[in-house]
Amino acid sequence: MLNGHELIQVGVNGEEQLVPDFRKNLSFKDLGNLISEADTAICVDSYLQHHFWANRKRAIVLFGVSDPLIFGHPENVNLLKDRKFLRENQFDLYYSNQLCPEAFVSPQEVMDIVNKWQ
Amino acid sequence: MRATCGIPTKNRYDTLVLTLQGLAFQTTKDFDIIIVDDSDEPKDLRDLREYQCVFDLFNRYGINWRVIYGKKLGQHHSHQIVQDEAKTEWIWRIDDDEIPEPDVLERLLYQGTDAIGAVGGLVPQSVYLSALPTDLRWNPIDDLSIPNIQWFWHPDGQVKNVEHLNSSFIYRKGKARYELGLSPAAHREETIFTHEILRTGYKLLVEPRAVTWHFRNGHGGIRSHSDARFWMHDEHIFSQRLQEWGVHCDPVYPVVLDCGKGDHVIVKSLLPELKKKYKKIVLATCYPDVFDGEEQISIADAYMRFGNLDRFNAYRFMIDEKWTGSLQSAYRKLFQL
Repeated sequence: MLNGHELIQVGVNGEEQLVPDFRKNLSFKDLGNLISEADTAICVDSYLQHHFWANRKRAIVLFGVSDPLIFGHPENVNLLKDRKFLRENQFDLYYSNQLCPEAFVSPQEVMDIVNKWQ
Repeated sequence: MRATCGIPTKNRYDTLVLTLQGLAFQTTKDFDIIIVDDSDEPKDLRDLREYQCVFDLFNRYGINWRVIYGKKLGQHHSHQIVQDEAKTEWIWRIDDDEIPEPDVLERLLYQGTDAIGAVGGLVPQSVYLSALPTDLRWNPIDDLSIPNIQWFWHPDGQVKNVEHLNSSFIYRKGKARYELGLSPAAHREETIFTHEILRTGYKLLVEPRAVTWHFRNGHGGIRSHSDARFWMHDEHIFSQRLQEWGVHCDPVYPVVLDCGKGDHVIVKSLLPELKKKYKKIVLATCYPDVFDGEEQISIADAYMRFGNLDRFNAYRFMIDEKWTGSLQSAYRKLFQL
């Protein structure tokens, strides 16, 4: 996957570390600096996709039950497995009915996008 | 000089008794009490043990008290009932989630000389109140986005002339009527009422040594009303009053972001357009770091200044509009960009 790229995980305390370089609890400014140096992000529908978009950087965004036509940016690569998984009330509280692993595309599909991009 | 203390109450028997206890221990006992009970299921307060105690104190101190049942039309109607029923020159209005320091009534009445129409004290929303900013205009009627000076500690301790009062104050009976066209939420009711008194030629004062703690009960009172249309209706009436009064206000546009950090980022991208369209913006945020360098207030401050915030909420807007477009376009529509 790396293929000459540096892979950095960003998150907060308590989250599982997945790669050696895990930067936690970055401020808005520090994360902005990191985004400006990055080529892309792989993230779910969260604040990070908006921050990349605002910095005019293209992110690969995994959507599950929230609708990328509402919450996504066309400038990003929005991956949605199937609209049948979209929750009925898109504007319900963010944390209700969110856990639905089968609604997401597989890791291989994400990798295919990354490989095409390189 | 005997006064009448009027307390509109709605579904707040838990905090009303604390207010009444604060009244019982005033340094002057020369007042009557009228409680206007607008509760959904009113109780006979004489049956409640804690109320029996304060009523015993009132009887001992010669403080007359009575309960009138409200019209279920909002606290402005209850205040008008008090004004109609009061037999005294001065009326002290206080909310059912406020606790006055023992010297409040005495200090307020002391300021009530012939030229004065109403006197308010401080009504801090928290015991951690901050000092009055030196550059703050003192309750101008032409800009209600400016924080009310009754919310701050005044280091100089000086009485100040203002153009409207908030929450708890004494006023001269019969100089103005409450605006009964307001919704049950009664947004801006005291602003309209006190400014009307000012317009009859009397002065309005803030006496900062008279402190009434406002412990903002999370339920009951105006918080019984959650329909955002009430606040919009009341803002419209207030705007009409401003026009009648010949008060010119530069429009102040509230941008209230009681939402996630991603929404903050999206709105930040719209900020140049917002600034271009609206002369003055009040920006209330949950994540001030996103708007580093911009003047911001907290969501709690926004609630104090603007009342119910639902009308500023993009998610409320999208639900009501059955929105299917993008989040960014929803914000654009909400902000009329």
